[in-house]
Amino acid sequence: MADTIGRVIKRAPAGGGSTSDLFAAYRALGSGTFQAWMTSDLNHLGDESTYRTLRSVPGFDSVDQPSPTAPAINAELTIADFDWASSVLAPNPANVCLGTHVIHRNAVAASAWPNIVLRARIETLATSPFADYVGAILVMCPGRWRAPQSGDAFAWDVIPANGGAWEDLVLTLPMSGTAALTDASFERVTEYPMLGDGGSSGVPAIGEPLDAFVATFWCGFYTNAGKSQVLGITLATEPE
Amino acid sequence: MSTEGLIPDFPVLAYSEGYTGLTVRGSHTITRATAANVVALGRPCRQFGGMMAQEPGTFVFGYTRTHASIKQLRIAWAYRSDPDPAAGFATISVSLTIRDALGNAITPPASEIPTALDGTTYGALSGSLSPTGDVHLGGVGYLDLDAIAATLVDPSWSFEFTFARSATDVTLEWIDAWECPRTSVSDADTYGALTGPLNPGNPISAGSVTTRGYERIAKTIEGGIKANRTHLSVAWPRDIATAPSTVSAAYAPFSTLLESAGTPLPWRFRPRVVYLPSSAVGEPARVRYLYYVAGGGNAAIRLNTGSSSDPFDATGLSGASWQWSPWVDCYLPTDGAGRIVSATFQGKTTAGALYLAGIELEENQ
Repeated sequence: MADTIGRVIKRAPAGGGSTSDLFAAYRALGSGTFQAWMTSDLNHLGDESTYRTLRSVPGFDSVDQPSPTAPAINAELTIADFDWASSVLAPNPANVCLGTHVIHRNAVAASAWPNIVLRARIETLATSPFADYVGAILVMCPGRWRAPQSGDAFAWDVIPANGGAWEDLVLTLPMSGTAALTDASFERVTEYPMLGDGGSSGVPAIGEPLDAFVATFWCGFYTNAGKSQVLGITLATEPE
Repeated sequence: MSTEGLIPDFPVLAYSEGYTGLTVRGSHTITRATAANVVALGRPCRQFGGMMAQEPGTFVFGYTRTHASIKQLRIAWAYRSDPDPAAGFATISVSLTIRDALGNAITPPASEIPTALDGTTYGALSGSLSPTGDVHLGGVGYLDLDAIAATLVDPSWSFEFTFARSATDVTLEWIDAWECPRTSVSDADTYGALTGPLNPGNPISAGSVTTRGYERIAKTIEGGIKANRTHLSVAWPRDIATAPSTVSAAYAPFSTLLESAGTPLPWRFRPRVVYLPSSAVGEPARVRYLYYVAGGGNAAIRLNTGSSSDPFDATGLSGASWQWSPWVDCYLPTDGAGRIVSATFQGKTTAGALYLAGIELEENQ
């Protein structure tokens, strides 16, 4: 966390003209004092500006398709262990795109990226805890509207059967460590937008350029026995 | 009007630049103006698009603009193409209508709505049989939020997407909308501090909220405070045959939004702290619902967030048509482990059934 008291200091609105408007001309505060307050506020807001919910989706009330590769319960999962065909069409594999999003660098460590975290609730299988499990994966594809491919960053977990109990599921693409996200995990996109343009007969207005680091996120699930549920899926940038 | 470029990388600020007794210098002021621009303009957090891959239908998302200095909304949609050439030349279309809470509407064809979202029919036949290679961008469009606000004068907007296709193997994979980070600062906007006038050699001044100096920086910080997050934006097909529902006369979980009978599903996310760290009450937020009440009932939807001010109820819901509830003020506690909030939703109705096709839960500083 940056150097801050960890919250914004409440004060009178700028331009209010009252004696509580600390930044108005002729106020008694010394330059150092109000610089310190502003520094704390901005460092705090900068910290928080990196973090936000990116997407929330209902999830799957029926996860019942096996992996196409049938890995063992103690195997390290890969993107290829999940079926990425459409979840709407038979045999209904459980995968969903969580959208393309702009990700901002960590405000404190300028070269670092935030943690990218998927949270959900998962209904464990009711069968054998030593053999049966749910496989879960979060994939980060550099760029826009891409489907998962070998080489993309991903985080995975194996959730052993636990009598059908509901558990928290957390998958994290980390900001630090050997698997930390790097600039190569993203695509730097520059787009020069036309604003609207449907129904107009003239030249569309040109908007402000978009210049950002973006990635597209997918998650997928399978079971090796029986039926599970994965509901209330959220994707967010979070601190370490 | 004057403008400058904006790079949304945050300059970490040091107290040592502004010790008491030292003169405030242009460089101090410039870094603070840049930081204020980043938090107010460079990192907007309003978005929507929370849906599962879909068959044809209508999906509705609520949206409110961060503030008037955020100018553009980017919307994209993607689909799975038909891998079977024998089925003929498959097509797909997505049409967008935008409404406000007063009933004003922008319907295609309209200059505000991009061609990619005006219902134009596109070919959707794939040349690939690869299951991961058949995801295609259907279209990208940018909305001019000022132009839309000129027609939709109420700030609570509703984006209705209607998806149609000609072949059963074509599916809508996702709709994706987010506000664009600004890449420029203008003194014509409500927020944004130009750094040029703060160059060393120029006087350091209080200025005003509309021009330059510390008042303008303080005003821009207020824009950063108002950079509210969209915490939950979820849409189900606007169809009572499939939407989550309840017929309970007492608060009960909606179908498909529960873990077991009587146990609602928690949605987990991390709120922003602005003024209230480690607070059991929490930071202010608000929520509204897209609902439908069949059978003449008087219905209500309850939100619990774990706040000491729980619960937060939207009451008096009625009518056999899809409509947004009024906003309900709520709070998101900031004293939980990892600051993670668990939000649950339950409903009840005095008669018939209550259906839910959309949730919009957002920070409300």
